[in-house]
Amino acid sequence: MSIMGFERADFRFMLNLWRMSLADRYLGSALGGAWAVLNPLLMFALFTFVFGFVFQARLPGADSTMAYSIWLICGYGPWLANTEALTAASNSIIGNAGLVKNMSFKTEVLPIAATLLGLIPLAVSIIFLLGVQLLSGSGWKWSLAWLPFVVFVQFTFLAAFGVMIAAITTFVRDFGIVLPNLLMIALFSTPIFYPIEAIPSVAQGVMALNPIYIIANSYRAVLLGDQFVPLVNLLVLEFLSLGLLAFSLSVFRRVKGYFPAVI
Amino acid sequence: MSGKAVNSVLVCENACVRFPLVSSYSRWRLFRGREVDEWHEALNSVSLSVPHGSIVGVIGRNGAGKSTLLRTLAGVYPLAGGRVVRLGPVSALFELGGMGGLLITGRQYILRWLRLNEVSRREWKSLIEEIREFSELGDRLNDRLYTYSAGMAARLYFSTATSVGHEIYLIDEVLAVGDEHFQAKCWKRVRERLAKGVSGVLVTHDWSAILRLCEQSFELDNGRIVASGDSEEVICGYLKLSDKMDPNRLACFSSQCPASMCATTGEDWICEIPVDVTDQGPVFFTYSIEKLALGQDWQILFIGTRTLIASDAGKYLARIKVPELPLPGGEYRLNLFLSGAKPADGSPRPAFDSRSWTTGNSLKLYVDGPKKPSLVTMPLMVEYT
Repeated sequence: MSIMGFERADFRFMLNLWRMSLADRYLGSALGGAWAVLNPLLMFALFTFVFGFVFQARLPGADSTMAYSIWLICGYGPWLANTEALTAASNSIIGNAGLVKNMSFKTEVLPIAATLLGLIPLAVSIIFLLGVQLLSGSGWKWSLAWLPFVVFVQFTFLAAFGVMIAAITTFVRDFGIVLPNLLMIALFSTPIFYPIEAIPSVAQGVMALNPIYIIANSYRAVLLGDQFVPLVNLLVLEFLSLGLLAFSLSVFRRVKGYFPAVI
Repeated sequence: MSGKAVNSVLVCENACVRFPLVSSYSRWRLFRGREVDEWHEALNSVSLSVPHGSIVGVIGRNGAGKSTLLRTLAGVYPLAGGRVVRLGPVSALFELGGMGGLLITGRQYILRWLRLNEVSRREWKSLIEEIREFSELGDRLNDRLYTYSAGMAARLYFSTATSVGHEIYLIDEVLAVGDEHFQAKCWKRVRERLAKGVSGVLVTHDWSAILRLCEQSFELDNGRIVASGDSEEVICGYLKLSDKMDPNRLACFSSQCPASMCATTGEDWICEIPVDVTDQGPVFFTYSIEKLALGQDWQILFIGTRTLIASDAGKYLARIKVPELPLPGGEYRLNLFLSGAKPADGSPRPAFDSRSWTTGNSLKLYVDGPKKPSLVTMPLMVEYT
């Protein structure tokens, strides 16, 4: 049985690579894996401070900074997963030149394994949020049942982009350099720090089609339970992402023979 | 051709590998699938096959395409033409390391290797212990790789890569790692594997390694196979030894000297070697009979004493006589040497001519007789107390 050209053994290999790159990510620092938790928390604190206290941002219908902070983290936590996943994917071929040049395996598992690194900040964010919600007295929400589906859609989307970005960056190193800026642009142009109502109503309709917004919004719906999970949008996004992933893989497989010549 | 392929575990037919020559600006063209103007033909129609149970040598200068060939055989580099067939799991011993940086410890390196090579988890514990012992790293195994010396790292990589028995080994120069003590261990391990019937390819420019390990060899130059056949002959062609003899030397073996000869175990063996001497001066003759024990070394069985055979110009016959030839049946090499008198200033004796495996023109000696594992049987006495 093979899924998109991957055999069972390839998935096993992917898992092993994932573990390996996970260890590499935090190896050599004194606190090691603790940074996986500390880094997101640091960013949450920073953005809560800047938007909640300095800019006094409030949500419509709620006036506490706490409510805004939770709302922000619901959108920004999953975004951290995007950044982590795509940055890691862009470097996945060049950074593993040793493996690419010396082992016989399907190199397309590298960007996918790298993309899955995004699961770590995502897990940290979600656990943090659920902890905070539990402490502030709100219990189990049935919307949480949709969480695995949202995660699945997000990572199909990320894998599709990750594979393509990995292929591009290997040939055009410049892409790896501009990627953080592109991600920053995507972050600020998507209603993650501000509600969608804050942008002009004409743009709101367009923004509803932004996959990053759909994902961020879905996480909010799932984690806050205050609105319906946009299942149709997610389903459409999933199918589009699968199509894009198939396309990215076909591009990747066409050019991967050149990897030894450029890394 | 098909009959040959049956016994081979690794076959490579007309393999072509080429790399696009692109600047960092035009790499984008590769990605878009545009035509590339310049290609480096790394391998050009290379065909070779590795028979079951033997190691084939590949020799060549730097940049001849040796490492590319090995990676192509392993399936790392894509083929632009031809095909490679592997009949069995391959262990690749080239450019060791590469398990994600030097921040990991030796033990973590081993674990990663075992995991990525999908070794069953049940074997991990015993394999790690075995690698620890073979590499002689001891407790340093728990230190990070960047604290290792080059030799220690090489020991770790070699021990790990050879810990699991594979059927086909692709070896790239790695036997030249570590100190002599460890090199000897590496050789021993390769010999043991060879005895178990593994096959492989050894790529190196250490020609002596090829002479010791491989019966068949290939010389690679500019991505093409330029010579193939008996290792000895290939190596000689590679070293261009025949050109190194002084054409105005005092004495040489005549061109009528036979290329091979036969003898029978237990019977008196006499052979005559024609020698041409062109001028006045002492000419000494000596000989040796050697046998190649594959994977070990050339074993010298007989060495003749250096004998004065001529002191003036003329045609001579050097006669070797061995009464009741004590050699078991098999194939041997007869090496012949002509040299001058030792100069008074202590400099080395001038060499006039040689026929030996080091110059690729030794004489083959076929001995007819019963095959025995050793030349002489030493009586062994064991006392129990």
